[in-house]
Amino acid sequence: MSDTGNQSLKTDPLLQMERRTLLCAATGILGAVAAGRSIGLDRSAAAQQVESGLSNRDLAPEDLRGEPWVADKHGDFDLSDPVDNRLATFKISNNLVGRKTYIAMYSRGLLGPQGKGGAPLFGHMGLWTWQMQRPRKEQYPDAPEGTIVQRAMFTGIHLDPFTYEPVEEIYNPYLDKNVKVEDSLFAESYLFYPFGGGVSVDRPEFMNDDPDSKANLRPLIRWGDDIALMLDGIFTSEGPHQPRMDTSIWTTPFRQLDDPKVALVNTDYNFAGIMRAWERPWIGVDKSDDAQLLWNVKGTKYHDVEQFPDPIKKHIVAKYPDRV
Amino acid sequence: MVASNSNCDKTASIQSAAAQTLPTRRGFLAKAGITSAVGGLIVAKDIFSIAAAEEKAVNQTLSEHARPTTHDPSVFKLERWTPNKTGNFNLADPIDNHYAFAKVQANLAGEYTWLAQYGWILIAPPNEPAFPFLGRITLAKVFVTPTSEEYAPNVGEHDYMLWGTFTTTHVDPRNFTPVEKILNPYTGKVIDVPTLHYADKLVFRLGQSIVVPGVDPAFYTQPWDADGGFSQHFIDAGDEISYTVLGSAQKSGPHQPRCDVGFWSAKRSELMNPRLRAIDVRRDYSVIQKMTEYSWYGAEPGDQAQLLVHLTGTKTHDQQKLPAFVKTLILDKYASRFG
Repeated sequence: MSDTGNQSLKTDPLLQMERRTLLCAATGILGAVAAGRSIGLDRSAAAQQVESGLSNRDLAPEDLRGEPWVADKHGDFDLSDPVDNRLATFKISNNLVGRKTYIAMYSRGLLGPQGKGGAPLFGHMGLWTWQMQRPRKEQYPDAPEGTIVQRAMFTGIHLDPFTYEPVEEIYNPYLDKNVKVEDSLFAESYLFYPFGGGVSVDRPEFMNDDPDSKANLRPLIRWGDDIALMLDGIFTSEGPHQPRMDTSIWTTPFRQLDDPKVALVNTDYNFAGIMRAWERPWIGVDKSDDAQLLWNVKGTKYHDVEQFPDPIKKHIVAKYPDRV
Repeated sequence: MVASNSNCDKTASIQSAAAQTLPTRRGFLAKAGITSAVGGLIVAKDIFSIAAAEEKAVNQTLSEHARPTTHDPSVFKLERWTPNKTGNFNLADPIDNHYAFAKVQANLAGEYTWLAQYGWILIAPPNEPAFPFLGRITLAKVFVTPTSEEYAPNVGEHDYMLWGTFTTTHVDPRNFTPVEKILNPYTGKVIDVPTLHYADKLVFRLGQSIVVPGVDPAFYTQPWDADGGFSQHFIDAGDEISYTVLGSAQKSGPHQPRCDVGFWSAKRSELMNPRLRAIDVRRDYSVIQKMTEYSWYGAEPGDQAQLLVHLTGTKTHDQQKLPAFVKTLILDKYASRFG
């Protein structure tokens, strides 16, 4: 082993750094996959959803029309430099030229009761719509110069966990009853600081970094011809909702990332997350029950609606055109 | 090998049932609550050791993959499986689907398949925020043979057996440099980080997702086996087909919840091309399990801390495509395991 590597893990405040330095573009996807909108929920369920940080949110019209952010540098990144490292992560997961970014995804969720065998619970199809913007000073007066605001809107529907066809109800084998699914509709904003780190405007308990932190280099792993960005999203508060976390891996051809003439890179996206089942009230699990959800998500980044896979066009774009 | 009419009929009836799926689903999922599943190439045999270990002290290592296993050298000389059906699959047909999945997760050429994956392990303490702990790199060399009564009684004409030789090493999660000792902040112990060597043999049978030779079927029977042969589920995203494979261990006990789920994603054009018997595929995988399944983490018996392992990677048949650090950290270092 490398003594240096070992020593760095012993002395470097990895945990503190990682707990504070949460993912940028992927934040909130944990919630996105199974989040149901609060409309139609009873009071206790709605309160539970608020507690989960997934109350129904939307972007104001002026947020949707914000000035797109365009980077000054588009390639030849020094990945050990905090500014370049951040730009590289944005080029992989978003773009540096002011375009909208879409992450189309599919997933399968499992319900894992404590002490008992689990089972597939739902399939899911979702779409992030993102844009990096210059923050309005009047909206974020304390944001350091050079801060970027990411507007993020999630739209998702639930699928049968075996056929992956859209469904209105799914069978919850743990409760032995059908439950009515809720579409996943919410939005949020993130501020990303110029030297790394950032804050979730809507859910600071999920992401709230020190703007002066210099220790925010994200892991970027060379994998053959590709480079992979690894992000973690961890709820930092203590409580019965824990463990609640997600992790995502973004894979891009390294030559595209490094080439300043390539504005929009191809990116594969993969995500894993766990949370308590009670955090999604529509699943029907009581808060006193510690059953957990595990899901894996596979997605692809796009910048043009026409490129979306047909099922995404058919079931999401057609149903929610105003969210795309 | 093409689907018989009866199988086509069965498929039609399955699809019809899928349209009104809830009653059917309820039946076999309820059954799954006491019978099911092991899936996933990586962890499939864990359930065996979990079940065995539950009969013993709880502080024993539970995971099969936490201790070394290997294949007898003679098995590498076994006849390879090279079926006739190699493309133009009707994925709604159980038999075609069976062969398509074999092409995706292994190959139909009788060749070796390399599965190289990387990712990280996060520790999730009860009621506290989780944190990334280690990076992980896994390399497997896989080949496929016909199966035999020795491994899975009542061999069917479509059965095949997948043999895998795995080595998993751990690295710094930020820079992927090797790590041999590390402080586990949760336990407060400095632990020796092992490289894991293990071997799997799994039988894939039409109508069932997986058979682990020598293991009580109650542990590996998949919830969806009641579908009658439509056992490999996939997402059709147009240009890409993603098989979703999971294994929610069904044996009750303190190791629960123990679930894994993964994607095998292939280009449709390559999957359907009958001239291509071996194709490159992307694999994404995640699992939650108790930290106590691996004694080297240093957790005390009964500890409820969990691990989330998240991996991604590629399956290829070209050793030259393996990433450089996989060659350095595993292939060159443990060359004798991979031939």
